[in-house]
Amino acid sequence: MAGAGLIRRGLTGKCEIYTLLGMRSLPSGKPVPYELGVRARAAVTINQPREKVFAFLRQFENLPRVMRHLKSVEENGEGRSHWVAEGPMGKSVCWDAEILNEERDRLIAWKSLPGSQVDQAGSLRFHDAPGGRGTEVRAELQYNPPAGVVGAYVARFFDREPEQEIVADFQRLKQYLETGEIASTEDQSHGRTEPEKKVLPAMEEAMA
Amino acid sequence: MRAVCWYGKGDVRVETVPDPSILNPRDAIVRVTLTAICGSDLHIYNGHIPGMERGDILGHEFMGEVVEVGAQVRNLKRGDRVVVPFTICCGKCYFCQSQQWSLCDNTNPNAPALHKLYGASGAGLFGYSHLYGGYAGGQSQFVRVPFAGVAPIVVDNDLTDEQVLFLSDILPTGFMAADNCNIHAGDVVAVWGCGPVGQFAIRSAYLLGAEKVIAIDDVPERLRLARERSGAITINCATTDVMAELNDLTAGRGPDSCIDAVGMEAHGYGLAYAYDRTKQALMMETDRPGVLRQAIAACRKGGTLSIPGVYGGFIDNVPIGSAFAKGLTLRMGQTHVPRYLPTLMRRIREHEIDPTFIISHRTRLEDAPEAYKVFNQDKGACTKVVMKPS
Repeated sequence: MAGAGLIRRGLTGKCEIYTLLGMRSLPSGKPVPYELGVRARAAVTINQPREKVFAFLRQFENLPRVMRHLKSVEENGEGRSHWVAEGPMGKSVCWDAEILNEERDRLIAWKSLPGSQVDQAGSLRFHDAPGGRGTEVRAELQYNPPAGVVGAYVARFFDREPEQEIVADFQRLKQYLETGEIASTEDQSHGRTEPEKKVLPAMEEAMA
Repeated sequence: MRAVCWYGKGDVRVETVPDPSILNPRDAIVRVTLTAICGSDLHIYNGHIPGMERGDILGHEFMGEVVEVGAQVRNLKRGDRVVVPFTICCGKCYFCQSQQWSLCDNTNPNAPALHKLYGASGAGLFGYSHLYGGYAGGQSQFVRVPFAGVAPIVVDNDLTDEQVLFLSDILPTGFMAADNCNIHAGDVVAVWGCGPVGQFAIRSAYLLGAEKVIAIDDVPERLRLARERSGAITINCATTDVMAELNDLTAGRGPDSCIDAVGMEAHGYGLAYAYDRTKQALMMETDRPGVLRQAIAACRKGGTLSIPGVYGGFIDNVPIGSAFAKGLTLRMGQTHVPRYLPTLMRRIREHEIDPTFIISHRTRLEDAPEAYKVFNQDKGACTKVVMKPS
């Protein structure tokens, strides 16, 4: 979950909305030592039964519906899958992953396969929320940026805040699973004759 | 279509913009038959609301006729006459399902930004900045209404547009302000601010059983309206010592409940006001809390402070020690509009409330820029503007 957003942002060095960051002290533009990597975790409560939430997320082909920068996921059998995300300068970035551990309605854990452009591992855990309030989903991700050009892009990501990226994708997941659609104001009417600079990124820049 | 667009502080214009279209399966398109300018639109007009973009369409009080529905809209059809609440509600999240509609989890596409600012995001709102979703507003000929089958209420043809329009925001907002006071027999309720929300809060407090409602403002015309139309006892805070007067009117007890129907642009008098104005101008304090301070100081022990007035940021020197010492209950937030629609519709039909009494100006949508100016400048002559798109 949320890996595509993280990776894309890493590759472009550009944060779509979240510039309010700076939690990590590594200098930008410098590759991160492999063993450090970056860890991120986030959680969301979804007002739907655990089986339904698990089933949606386990079907990786569903994920581009809720993850903003993921283009496609293809499952190749035996727990392996091929992921394609938007990359820098209109290019795509792809990687292969395999499921390391799966417990129905409780846990999915995965790791990217050797040779991937981005080295990552993660898990999703599912619990019933108390009081019949649906399902608690907790994500944990770890990324290790590779060397080379892609690595330089990815490394620029590491002085930012990856958890915000997961939170944003979780919000869309929740909207989709609870309401059947994702709230949007893209393409609606306005009185702008020329493209206006989006106000929210600028605001968040100012808040940083 | 024609629509009222915002271009900056004090700059609204009526422009020709593309017609709205269905973007999501639970959307509807409504042809607006009547819309209004809200006091909270003036916060935008005066540049106090962050997250606006030039060209944003304003307006969150509107009603009209459904002209198109998305594939997943179940309980509305073309031709239905609807009032559209200003909060957009999904109907499926924990908050919608527990009647806390304005806290809806799922209707703000920019929830992460608001989350960063406030720690959480509530419902998306029409025409009220990109922090609240950037939804195009209803001061226009047509409007896209997301989740149209949830919050909008169908109205019968025996009620006029003017009778039901204010169900979209200010009538339930005034009613919830009074409802939050948990009024008991014999209670005295003090209301700061006699704009439309204050007027409806006064009326609602009486309907919910208050013995006495005291209205506080510095605009004589608005105080007269509160006296004549809703039976309030009035205090002109420009000429009267409010604390002394409240003390006298309640024989030392203080009002059982205090309603702050003013919010972040409170006008005031004296040193504390100069302090707030200066800090707000320097961006060190975003909201001016003069009314809030006074309401806390005035409220009786164990009383309730109810805040329908909008606050957006930070305030200083709020006497939290007084609130603690007196064991006050503070209740606030955007209005859970759908919670109140059935009861208010009934009260309108049975003539317990006639919301039209606050309307001072009836105009065409085309005249919106002038209407904004008048509403902003002349609080005496102008209590409420309704506009008809032609």
